[in-house]
Amino acid sequence: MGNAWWRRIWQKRITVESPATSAPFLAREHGLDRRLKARVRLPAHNADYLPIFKNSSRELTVVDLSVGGVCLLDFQDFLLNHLSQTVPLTLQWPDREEWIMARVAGVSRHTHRHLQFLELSEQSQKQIKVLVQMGSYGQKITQVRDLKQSPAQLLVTELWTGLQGDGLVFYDSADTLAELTMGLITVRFHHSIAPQVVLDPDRNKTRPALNKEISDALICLANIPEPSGRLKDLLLRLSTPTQPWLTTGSGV
Amino acid sequence: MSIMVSFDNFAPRLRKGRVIPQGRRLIYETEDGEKQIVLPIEMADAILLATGKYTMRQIIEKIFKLKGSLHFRTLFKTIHQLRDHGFLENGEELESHSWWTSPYHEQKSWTMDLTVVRRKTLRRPRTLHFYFLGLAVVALSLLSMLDMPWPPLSKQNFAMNGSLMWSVLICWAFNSLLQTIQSLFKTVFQLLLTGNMFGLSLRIAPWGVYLRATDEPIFLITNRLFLMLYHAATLLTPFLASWPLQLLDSNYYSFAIAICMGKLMIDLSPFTSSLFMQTVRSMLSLGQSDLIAGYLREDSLLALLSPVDRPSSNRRLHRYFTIYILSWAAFSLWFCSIGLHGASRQVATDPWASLFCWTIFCTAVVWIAARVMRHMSPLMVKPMMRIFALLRSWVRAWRPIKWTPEKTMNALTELPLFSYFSKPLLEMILKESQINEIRGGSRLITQGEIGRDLFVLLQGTLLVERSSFDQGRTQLSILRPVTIFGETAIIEESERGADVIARETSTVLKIPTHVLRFAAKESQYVREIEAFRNAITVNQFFTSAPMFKDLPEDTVHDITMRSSLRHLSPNEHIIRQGSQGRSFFMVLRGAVEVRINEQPVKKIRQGGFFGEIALIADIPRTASVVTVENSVIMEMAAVNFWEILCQNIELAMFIEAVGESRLSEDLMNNSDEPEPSEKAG
Repeated sequence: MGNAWWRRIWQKRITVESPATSAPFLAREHGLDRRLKARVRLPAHNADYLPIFKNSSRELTVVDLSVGGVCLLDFQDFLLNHLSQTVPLTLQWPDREEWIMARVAGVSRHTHRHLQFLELSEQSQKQIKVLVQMGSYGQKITQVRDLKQSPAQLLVTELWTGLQGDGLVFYDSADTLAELTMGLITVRFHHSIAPQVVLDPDRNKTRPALNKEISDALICLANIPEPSGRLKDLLLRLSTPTQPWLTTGSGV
Repeated sequence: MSIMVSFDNFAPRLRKGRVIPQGRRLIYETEDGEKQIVLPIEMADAILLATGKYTMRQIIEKIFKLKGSLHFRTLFKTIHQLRDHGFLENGEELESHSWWTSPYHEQKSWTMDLTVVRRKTLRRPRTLHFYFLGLAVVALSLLSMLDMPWPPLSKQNFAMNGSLMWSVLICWAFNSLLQTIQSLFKTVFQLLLTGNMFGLSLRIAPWGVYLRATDEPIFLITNRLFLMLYHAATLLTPFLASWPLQLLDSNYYSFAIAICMGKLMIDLSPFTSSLFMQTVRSMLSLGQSDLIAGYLREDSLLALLSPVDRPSSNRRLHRYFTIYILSWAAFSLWFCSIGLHGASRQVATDPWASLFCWTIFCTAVVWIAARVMRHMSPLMVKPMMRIFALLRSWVRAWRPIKWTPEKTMNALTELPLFSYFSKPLLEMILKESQINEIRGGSRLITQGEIGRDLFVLLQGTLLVERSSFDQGRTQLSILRPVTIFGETAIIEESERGADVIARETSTVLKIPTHVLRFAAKESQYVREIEAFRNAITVNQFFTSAPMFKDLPEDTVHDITMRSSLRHLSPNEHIIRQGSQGRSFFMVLRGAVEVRINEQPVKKIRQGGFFGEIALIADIPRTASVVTVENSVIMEMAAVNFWEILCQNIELAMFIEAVGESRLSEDLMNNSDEPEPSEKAG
């Protein structure tokens, strides 16, 4: 009875957007994006739900991550420089830790170590795939160029759009800083209060974003190509541990 | 008078306005605030580029360069929506496209609209007020129906006071009154629900003079519960408005109810693209198609036949269509019988009134038939085409065209391949060739025999079929004029790979291969015999492949100039699942197998194409493709593919639709697979 037509009055909302039968939408929403080694950048921020890589209990900064491997920043040469040598790593998730072996696949700019996972548990693979999905939302978002000669005037400070309804809007408002739409979730960032998830845009109904949703939003934002000054500021702001809603364990 | 241009060459110029992003959508509002339209947010780039300076082709190129991909159908519909709702200053220059129907772009030569009230806004929407008012209207309307006489209109009370003319006038007046009341309610509901009302106009039409409210604010609503309540309340309002008439005069009340029922039937029509119908579709359809309803005005009947909609949702829509058609037929018969009875009774006493009534009824019948035909016409295209082709073949069989040397020469020069030959060479070829007429069902080429001639199909249709031990008899392609076949004989006198059978009486030009070899060597352009054979293969593909045979000549030229041919053996991997998409492929000869997770899912044969999904969706390859027999594949690099799509929007939309349909099939076939998140990667 879950799919009874009359129940759909309450279940779903009619939304105005590009067709849900379009190839990018189908591919994305149904996991048809069968890539094997898609990489996403992780924000320089130790929010919950993001994995932490450690070598001999020293925390290393993640540049980018895929199911196949990771690129770590190593300023003090903790890791090996020689190609094909194996490195023991601890992959720390919010709820558990995993000890893994990785192989040095490349070294660039002296500090970047490209490591290939030799064995990774299925659970970690699944968790990384979710992060990759969030990053892929961001990778398709580009800035809309506001043309001076255009008869259409953009009523927001900056507008970024993806291929399938994803977007980022910066407002010139004393209350709202920006609004990120990724997939079917819209997260609103405010100047003073914790990020909010928009439940009903018609009635401006929101709820505080969960830690997981903030982490997803951060990954999405960190992967937007050619970020503007405002976007960099937003990322920095969200990544700063002094945010009141971050230190109190999110706004939930 | 402005010059009409095709979509590709149209340079849209927007009326001055503001872009207001709102989540997954954006609102475009004119500078004076009198008009609003809701569009998908990814159309922001296109809107800002609609300055009148760039053609659609240039806009598409710019967006592609910026984003690496775009959805052609959404863009096509967005521009048409903007034109239909009067947001484009030069909208009248855009040619009407056969793929686009819109209730907002009908020729309104029968009506005239005068603006009465301009835009009004409330400080904020009052959804709670709307909720209770809407519920009250629905409840009271249903209550009023309890008092409704049945049947509402009888043969006795139709001819009021003995005058049929008077009855018709009453109908006209009540229709005007009820439409006006309905519009006023609509306006109130819109104000409460959205805080906006985009004006009331006075419509003067043959069926009434009434106030009319636009539906524009309703595009802002995404809550289906509110939308359903809005539609229910506005549809039932005329019944509520008729209720007080019962106290005045039961005859008048009967008339009003009959009009209400007629209006309800029109409003519930699944043949229209009304907002109500979209909401109904969104409720009856499952899954993804739900999300389309708010924006894209798909033709309901076409959507019903769409391979994308799931069968269960199709069944529900189908039921709705059937119930509606049966109810409409019953209602029309009942109403017409009453009217015609009244009209026929008056023939003796008032012939002019009788004639007037007959005219009205005949007009109504023609109007309904035209409306049904308009929506049914896409369904009729294929059968009609078949009938036309059959008739044409009969006519040709009865009176075949006489192929004089001049006519044959003209037919040959239509083929780009023969256009390389000089006139003396062509004359030499014709002199040495022979024109044969083949009866339907006769075999022209037999599989396995040694080929010594090349053929040019001048008239008729031929089937190419192959017999094999494992697969039995398979049809490879259908050849249509003017096309070349039997080209394997050019290089060496080898065995024919397939049978060629005439589907109808056909005329072919039989050219001995030694003559062609000589001509090819003599020709300034075609020096290499291998290149000559390849050119024939390509030409055959573009004249016979169902998806490409209607492409303009310059597009075919563009595609062939920017592609390369690959001759592949069986079991060769053309693309691998998960790899980066860099090319688009067309199957000129042979067949390929599509494999997902190493499981074969389908075969693509001669005339088909693949590799489009990764390019249009900008994702890695969703499947592996492997040859199953000796094949000739035409490969086009992604950049060239996109350039050609940018220049041919129809081809782009077609390839996009095929890609989407393939993805949907893939999803349906794999619905029992693990969760999407597990499948990714």
